[in-house]
Amino acid sequence: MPFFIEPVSCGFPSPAQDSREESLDFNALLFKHKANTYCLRCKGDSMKLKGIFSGDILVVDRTLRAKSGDVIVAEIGGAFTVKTLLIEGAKVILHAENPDYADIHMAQEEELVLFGVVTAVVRTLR
Amino acid sequence: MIGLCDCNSFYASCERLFRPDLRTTAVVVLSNNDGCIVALSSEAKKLGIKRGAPLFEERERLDSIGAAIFSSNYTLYQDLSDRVMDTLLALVGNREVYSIDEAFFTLKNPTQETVQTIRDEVIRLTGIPVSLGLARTKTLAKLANHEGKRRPSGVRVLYPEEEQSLLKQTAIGEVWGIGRRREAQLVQRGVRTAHDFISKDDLWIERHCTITGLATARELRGIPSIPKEVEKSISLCSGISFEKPKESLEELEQSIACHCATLASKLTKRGKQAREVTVALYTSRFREDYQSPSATVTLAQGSAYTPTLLAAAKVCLASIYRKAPYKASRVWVTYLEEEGVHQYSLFNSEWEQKRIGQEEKLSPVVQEIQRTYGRRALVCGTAGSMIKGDLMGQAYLSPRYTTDWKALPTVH
Repeated sequence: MPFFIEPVSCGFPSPAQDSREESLDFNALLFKHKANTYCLRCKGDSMKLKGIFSGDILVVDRTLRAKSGDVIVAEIGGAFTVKTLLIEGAKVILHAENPDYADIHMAQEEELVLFGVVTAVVRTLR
Repeated sequence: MIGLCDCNSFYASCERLFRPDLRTTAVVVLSNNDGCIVALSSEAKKLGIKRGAPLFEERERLDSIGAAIFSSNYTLYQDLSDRVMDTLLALVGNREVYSIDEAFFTLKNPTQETVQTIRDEVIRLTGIPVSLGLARTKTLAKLANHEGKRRPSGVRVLYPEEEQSLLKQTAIGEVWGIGRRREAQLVQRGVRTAHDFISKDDLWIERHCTITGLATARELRGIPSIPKEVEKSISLCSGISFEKPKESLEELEQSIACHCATLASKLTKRGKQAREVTVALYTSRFREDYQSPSATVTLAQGSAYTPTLLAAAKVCLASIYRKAPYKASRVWVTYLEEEGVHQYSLFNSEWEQKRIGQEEKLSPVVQEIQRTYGRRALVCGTAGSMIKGDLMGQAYLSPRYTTDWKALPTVH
């Protein structure tokens, strides 16, 4: 004879009981590769047209291979910079999403020192 | 084969990860209280600066090359260590963490290319440079790793047919497990290289170097003889060296109380409780009358509760204390068991049972407060003034980049 293990005070088991799923988990959404993801804080407005503003948290995943069009964090002149990566044939360009900033054209022999690919931007409002 | 993955100049590499401006700058990391140099990047090593050197002796030389100096930031190192270890596990499928910057693993029929790929991937995925060495045993893997570190590739697979020639070039003191005193004894008996050592017969080795030395010899001969590291968490330790020597029992009690609070929170985090508490005191190593008294107390029941650990530690302290200028104190908890294991013994008093009940109720509350407001928010009364006085001496501390939202590295 079937019986219910949970004490049910109102007499009926919840009809949704079998449909229960885990609650939404932001860790699963933002940290797909936890050991290889770092968070950096954006300073400045060089990416504002992409909706990335000063103070935003950038989630940077190092497992991904950067493709043209990705927002990436790279090392330029001893500092981290966040830009859109554009690859046009042999040309590698770090494009700022703000007309006030010039694009950075990588010289042919220069190797791009990639820190990682930005996979998410987190901004809290209060 | 057995591999050893070892992070290169680990603490210095951690300090560099979020400082692109320091990629080619010499980096050194200091011990607690900023006393000695405990880690240095290859640039600093090239200058001839040695691990263990007091900062004040090397200060001028470091400044002259514009070296970056850091206090040790263990929060950062542990987080990055966990990332390296997890990455290695994901790539290789197994690993045995040996220390904060080393892990052993096994790999079937490794080729130079696969090992190279693993090494390059660990570096790409974590940003921490590592070297890999593979051989038939852990002791040989350690030597292979040492070789790998000196190669641009950062890897060395030591095949059995290559072992003899490497052992002939390896000074006995470079072998893992041969300490300085043993090295001196062996050299005196004409054993200069690792090859000389394994050429001796087992009886000779056991007589002069005990059973541990014999295990090392067997390892060098290619026979795995070091058992898998028993769970590292069989003991936890908290220690501090004082800026100024401490003489009074009261001051020492304060430091011990601090250690107990730290250990209690470490235990709780791991879901463990300890059955044994050991306290040790150290006078300065540079004094002729160097002493390091220690004592151990066994608890009737395992505990992860600060007051209980502290009560035990105080008993230890009282039994070893004699007035002397102590430079450091340390507390270990050992004989760890899973939380909630209460083997109610026949002799358990009613008081004991009540105490366990209290602990179970209070511990989560204390941990919650410490989690929310920081580890030092709630401490035993005895720990009091330690917080202000002795935990300083970290003049060059870097931000906790990976564990504090307020300390994230910035990008423009």
